[in-house]
Amino acid sequence: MDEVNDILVDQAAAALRNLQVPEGPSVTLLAATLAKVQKLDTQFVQKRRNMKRIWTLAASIVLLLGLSILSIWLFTGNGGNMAFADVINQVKLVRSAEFRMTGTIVFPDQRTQKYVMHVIMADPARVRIEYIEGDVMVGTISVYDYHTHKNLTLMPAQKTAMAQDLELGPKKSKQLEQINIIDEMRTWNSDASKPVGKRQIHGRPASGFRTSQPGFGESTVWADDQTRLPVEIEGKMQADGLPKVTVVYTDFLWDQQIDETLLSTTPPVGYEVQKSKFDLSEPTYKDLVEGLRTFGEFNNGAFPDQFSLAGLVPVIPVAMVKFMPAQAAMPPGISPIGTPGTAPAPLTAEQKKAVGEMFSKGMMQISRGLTFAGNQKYGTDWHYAGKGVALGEAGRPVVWYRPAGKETYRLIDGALAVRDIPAAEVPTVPSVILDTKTGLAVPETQPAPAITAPQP
Amino acid sequence: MFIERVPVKTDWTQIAATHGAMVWQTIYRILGHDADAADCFQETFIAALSVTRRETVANWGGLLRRLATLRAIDALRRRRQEPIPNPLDESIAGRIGPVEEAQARELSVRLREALRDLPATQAEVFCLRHLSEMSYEEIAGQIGTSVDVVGVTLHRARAGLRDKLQQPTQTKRRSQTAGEVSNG
Repeated sequence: MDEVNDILVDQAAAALRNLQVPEGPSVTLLAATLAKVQKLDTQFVQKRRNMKRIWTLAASIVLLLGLSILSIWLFTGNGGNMAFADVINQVKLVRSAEFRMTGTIVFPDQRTQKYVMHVIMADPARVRIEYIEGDVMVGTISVYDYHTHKNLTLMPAQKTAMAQDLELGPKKSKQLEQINIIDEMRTWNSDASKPVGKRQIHGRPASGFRTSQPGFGESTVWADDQTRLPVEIEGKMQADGLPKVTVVYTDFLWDQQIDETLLSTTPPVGYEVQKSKFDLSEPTYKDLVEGLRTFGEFNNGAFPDQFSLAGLVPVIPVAMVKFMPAQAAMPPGISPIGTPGTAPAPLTAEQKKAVGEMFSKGMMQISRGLTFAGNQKYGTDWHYAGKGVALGEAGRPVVWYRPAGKETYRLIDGALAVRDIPAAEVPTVPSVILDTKTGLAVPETQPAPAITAPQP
Repeated sequence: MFIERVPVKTDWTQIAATHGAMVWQTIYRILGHDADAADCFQETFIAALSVTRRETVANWGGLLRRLATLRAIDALRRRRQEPIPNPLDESIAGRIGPVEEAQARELSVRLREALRDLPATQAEVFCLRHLSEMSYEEIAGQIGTSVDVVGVTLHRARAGLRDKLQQPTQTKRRSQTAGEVSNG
């Protein structure tokens, strides 16, 4: 009986399969579908750009200070090859990686700072960073879990733990999950590389390739000839006005059994727990205002020459001198100023913690302000005129722009008062344009003929 | 490294030109219904867009065929309480006589009805194998499972369809029930 009915199933399938159906959708339907998908895709690409930018800014800033591990996501984006595609394919297959990351930052004034981290990545949205050498973060451990949006930073010497909820907003989780090395490498163009020869690394033959991936600068990848997995990666990054950064990844262990407790975001027993939030939600103009305020406070009460990441570089030493205890030794490479006649003393654990928290909070606020400023999503015709203006100086225009969808301009003055003004009343003081084309909000010089500040 | 990385945009016009007809036919064959098919057609491409956000698509044809099948089965199941249409303008390729064609049309209606009562995964695998004529390996690759699992799922789907195809169609059951009520 079953056989008979099996034939019936086959007959029915054949009948449906052979049914004459229209050859294709109507032109109208096809056009409507294409329009809809292309619109959604464009929105998505824009969102990714914005998200990338948020992360780029945040990561770049915290890297300068050694206050966060976020840069790892960017700097580890340097995979390898055999044929390059072979290595990328091998990396796609791994589910965990452990490596040592050694970074060297050369500041525009030729000061240097070195940092070393031990990194474990797993599954693939979790990462553990142990800060081994470098700055005030040495000795601390950070664990990020991008599935649960939690971060745990441990300071074993002080038995202190900072537990953070990563504030992403409900629509951002997917994008954030994409910010990890495995997903990044999946998107790499395997054609964008050229062989640079062979050499022995730890007694094993390895093939080298130089690759340049969009947004990731130039990297040299050495991959084991047998496993086709990277054994050493060197990445070099530089953008105008920013420090040169060289990062070398070594001591790779791929797909090792990972002790899950190392990736836990639950504070260990016996630790004093401080809870906070790491805000990556959509910024508003209020973040711009607070970013300007923090920038000004870091810069001894004056708005910076440039409201940008590049503008932050000379401000950091000023802030360190301002906020660090009077006789403290400055972190290597950051402090250009000593205390004459007095031997610097190392920071106590409590001082390290206080400075770390203060900078972490301030940098986040500045980062959010920079993310908002110059972003075409939030407004157009962005101007900055804060150079030489003191924080609190009412009536001196600092930032103005036309908010998205509005005919009027929004003006922020030195006292951080915000008001909307008609286009005809836009300031004519010398200003620079906040330009997001580079993703860095680095201003460009714009000539301005007259100096006539608007009335407060 | 410090510079923004620009995501690559997908050439949807080219993809639609290459695979649009296949997507439409896959959907229409399962649904036999213009309005539902139009909705599914859009949903299929939007679902494909979601996929591109997670991964690089290596096989657009396979992906779209699977998504089209899934969307069509979903639509079929949403209309579980409604009779399956039997439009007269659908003809059967390769059939000669009107009687044979009518029988084939009746069978296809009954199969659509049976498919919507199957578990979704079974219906999906059945359609991919018997309507889209994909190999076990292709199906396994698309739904991310093993060939063995595909075989087992297909076996269960066929068993389920055997039982359902023996039963009178829902349309007939309804007319019988209506007849009983009116006669009663």
